Amino acid sequence: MTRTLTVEGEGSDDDVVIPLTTAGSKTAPSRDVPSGMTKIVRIIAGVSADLVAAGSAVVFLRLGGTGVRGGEQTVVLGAIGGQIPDDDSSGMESHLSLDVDIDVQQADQIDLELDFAGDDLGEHGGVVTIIFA
Amino acid sequence: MGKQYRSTSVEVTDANSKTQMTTQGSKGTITPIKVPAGKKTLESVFIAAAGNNATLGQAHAFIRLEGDGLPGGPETLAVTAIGATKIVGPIHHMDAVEEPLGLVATPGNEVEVYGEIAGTVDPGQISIGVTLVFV
Repeated sequence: MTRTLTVEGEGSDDDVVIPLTTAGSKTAPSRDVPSGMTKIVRIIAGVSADLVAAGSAVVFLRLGGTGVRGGEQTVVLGAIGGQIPDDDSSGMESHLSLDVDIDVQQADQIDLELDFAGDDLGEHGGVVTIIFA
Repeated sequence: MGKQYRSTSVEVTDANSKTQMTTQGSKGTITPIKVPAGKKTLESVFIAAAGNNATLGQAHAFIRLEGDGLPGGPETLAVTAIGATKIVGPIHHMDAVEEPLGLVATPGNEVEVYGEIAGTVDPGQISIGVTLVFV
């Protein structure tokens, strides 16, 4: 049996964390580890930037809080870069899935945050789903 | 027992210049990555890279894994290749991929991670991110 938690967030400054605490119309979904779950087994995510500023950056996801056993875990989700798009430029889309094995503590809260590391790329953000088992 | 994940990144601006990864975004310079206690294998890496397309041409990015945390010796891993004929646009983007490695690791010892780019011309800047997965 599995359970999911999905959160999203956005920001505009590089090297400044984006806490992931909302999920669209659901302003503050519970981030407590569900009963009976002992691990995070998969991360699904999409990350993006509008490139109103040129540069390149790597996107990290941090998983912390008392809900994560063994200390804070940080994983790379992707990288984005380019020059300021002109009228003919394309956009971007992102979807990734990563199998993981992170021990969690039932009933404790997991803190998730994105960190765009590198250059300021303009508005940026993402959505993350973690799957518990 | 769960796995342990350690991440870092770098912006590489010069071709054929090995550049150590020592930062992690808002955390700035992080302590050197050491093999966590009780972990004896670098099972895999998550990798991603993207360039800022500041100059025309093509380039490729790779990482080097070194240090006494890897008793089997240094390893090199390809990450991506990019190219463009026009500086303005397109947006370069790469979602992270996991590559299995299965390298013997020594708990408590350091793993040094380096990024490097190469190509026909300096490609501008490429950001490279790496997660080391220890088990």
